Amino acid sequence: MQIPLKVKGQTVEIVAGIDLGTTNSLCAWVHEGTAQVIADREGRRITPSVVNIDEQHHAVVGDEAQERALVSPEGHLTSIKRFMGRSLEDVYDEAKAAPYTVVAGTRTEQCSIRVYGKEYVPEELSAMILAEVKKRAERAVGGRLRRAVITVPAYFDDSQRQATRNAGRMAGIDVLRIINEPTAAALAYGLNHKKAGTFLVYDLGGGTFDVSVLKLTEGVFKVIATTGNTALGGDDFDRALVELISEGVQVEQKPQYRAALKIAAESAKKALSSQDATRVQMQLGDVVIDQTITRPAYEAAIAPLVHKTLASVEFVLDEAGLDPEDVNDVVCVGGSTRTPLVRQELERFFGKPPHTELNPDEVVALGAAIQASILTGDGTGDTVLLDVTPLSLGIETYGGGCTKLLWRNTPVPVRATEGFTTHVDDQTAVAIHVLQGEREMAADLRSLGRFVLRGIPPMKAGMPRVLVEFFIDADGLLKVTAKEMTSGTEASIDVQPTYGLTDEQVEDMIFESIEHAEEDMIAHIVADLKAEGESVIRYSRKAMAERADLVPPPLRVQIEAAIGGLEAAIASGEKEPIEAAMLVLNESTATVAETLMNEVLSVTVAGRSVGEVIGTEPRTRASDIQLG
Amino acid sequence: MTTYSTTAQAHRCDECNADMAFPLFCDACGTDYPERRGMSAFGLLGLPVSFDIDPAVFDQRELLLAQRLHPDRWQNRGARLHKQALMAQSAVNEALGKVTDPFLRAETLLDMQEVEVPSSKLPTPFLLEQLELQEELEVGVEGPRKRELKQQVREALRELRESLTSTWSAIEAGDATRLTDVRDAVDRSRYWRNADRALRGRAPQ
Repeated sequence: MQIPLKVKGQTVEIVAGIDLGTTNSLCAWVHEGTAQVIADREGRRITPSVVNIDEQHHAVVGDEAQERALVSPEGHLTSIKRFMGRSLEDVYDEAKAAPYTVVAGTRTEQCSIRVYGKEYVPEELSAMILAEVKKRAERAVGGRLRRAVITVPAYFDDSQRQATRNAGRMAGIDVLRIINEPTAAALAYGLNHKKAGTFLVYDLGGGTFDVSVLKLTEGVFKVIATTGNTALGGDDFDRALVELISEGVQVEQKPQYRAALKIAAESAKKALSSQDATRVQMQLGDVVIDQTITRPAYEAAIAPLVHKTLASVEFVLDEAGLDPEDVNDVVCVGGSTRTPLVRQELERFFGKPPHTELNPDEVVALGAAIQASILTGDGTGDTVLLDVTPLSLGIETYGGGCTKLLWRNTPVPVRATEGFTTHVDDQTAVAIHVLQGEREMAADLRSLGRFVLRGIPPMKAGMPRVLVEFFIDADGLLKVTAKEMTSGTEASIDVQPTYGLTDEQVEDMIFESIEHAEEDMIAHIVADLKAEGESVIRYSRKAMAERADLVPPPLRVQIEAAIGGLEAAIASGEKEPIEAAMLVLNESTATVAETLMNEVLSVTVAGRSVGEVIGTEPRTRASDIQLG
Repeated sequence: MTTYSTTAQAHRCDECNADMAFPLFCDACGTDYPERRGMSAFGLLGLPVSFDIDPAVFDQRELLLAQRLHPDRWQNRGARLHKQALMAQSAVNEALGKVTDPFLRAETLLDMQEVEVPSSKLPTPFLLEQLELQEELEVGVEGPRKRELKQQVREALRELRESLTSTWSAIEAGDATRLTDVRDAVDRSRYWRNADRALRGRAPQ
């Protein structure tokens, strides 16, 4: 990665593309005309989309959270994205399978996650992940990340998109645009290959599956049709593997056992992408597991899931009015497309191998970064994205039916209007129920919100003409307005989101997070200090064991005492004592460290340039995607 | 009688005299023309008022208008201009929705007639056929029967499209009496399109 030169007093602005994934999240930006994933200071390109909350309600995110999977299994929250903008009823099966407690929400109909007696809405948790991604990028580049494009599965409905936007706001990010993951991938892929044609993007992520057909002509990416399943992904492959791993043994349903099995399944899945078999050995309480999973057994277990995705591929081609041979290129996106069976089945279906040149984990973030760059540019570039709304939108009518105002796969932004009237004399208000989905009856559709148009002048039934307007913006987000036309009454409307938070609730949460910002910051500093202190203790002990010749007995006693002091300070969890004890230990080991450093330098510097010794190689490679 | 133009009307901006890609919004200086919102979809898109338009023309117009009007290109030009571009792109999409599909295009052309072309009563055998089809679709069809029905519905729609092309040629040649045939084809197409939609069904979950 190239570290941009900073002019004193100026802060580099990172206009980012963020792939907020079910399993992992990534941040990319366009720097000096090249889209590249931002690796953090430790060289990590991926942030696990994991939050771990302890009994004191201190949260850690990403790799640090991952490390606490078995320490605090009850507060170990993975695959949060699956619950964004959903009610408990929507996610009943997934909630049951989750290694944490999902409950009906108290603030909205959206489900919440209960950790040690406190409820968290999914966008709060996603905001923590976004904040971690933001922090890592800022530290790596040495700049500020205020604006970003965030990606969502193409098949996300309005509630899920709103929830994602809210999460961005809570994380202190001005969300420039919500774009669909396959569209972002096509953008990165298309720009990289600079060719026109029809693409099918097959995006199998951790928890969601999307398939989109796009046409690229002269820099304009037009989505023709999209479909998917927001409850199908690599997690389901993991679940199939958990079944295989625990076949024939009775594992107690403890959160830590479930978490351990999930980790084993993820690891086996990765191994089976390149090996014919893998052995899983683990002990869960009294139960010993020693299973050899073969690739045929794994493929037989996941075949129904892969065939489900192919049914969606057939469906989207039908929607686009295309045959498999009309598709010029099939692009694989999402870590789960590394599964050999997925690639084989796609090749069989299309008669040609899918493209896998770009890292399937990174391509979405790179596309989002390109879109962020387009949005903050001067508008003179050639690239434009034309997307569609994935699901039909309508209004509940008398008798529980639904009148569709906009059909699925309609290009956005778009406006649609429909006239309605009253059913009884002197009716002065009309309740409007906004619905999304493909079924006919309101009860079978997703409720997006309700509002009441008041102030209609009293008239005979059927006389008033209520004009309802739907407007879907370029983010795919819906705004609804209504007007009574005969009297010109335009009542103000207040759409109460069925599954999401209102603007006020989001503002309250942002306010709360500001109120707790200092507390959170201190908690974070303490966590960092504890980790650093533990490392210092580990290295001190290692040095004493390996180079006893450098540590005379009086110094050994002094170091042991300093280690004891630091261990006590770490246990206290207080910032100042840890800092003080670390200073004491560092001073005690200073002479040993100095001797060791001199020895290392005398060996390594001999015959080499300074550059070779201190290292001038970039810590991470730049992506090969070029803009334009 | 309504006249049909084979050439599209060009627009120039009153403020900056630039050629306008879209009559509601000048992408050179940002002036908007709300008084033109009542224009037909053909007028907005700069297309000749005709049924017989090469589908490639729609793609070309869509491409050109997106390159000039899409709100993403106006993101940093101030909130007012960005909003105008958003509304302009939305009007483009709405207009394209009215003319790209041949049946909706025919309906748009009927709506543009100076005299309303009323719906005629569709023949009872056709309505009975549709009723039976709807009943069968409501129960749910799968496998070979579904493929058979899909083929039948798409064939019916293809025939209606072809009949519209020939009928409209006669109308453009001056035979206004054929407008009722267009209405008849449009009315029938609604039934077949509903069936087509039902056969496509919902995304597999």
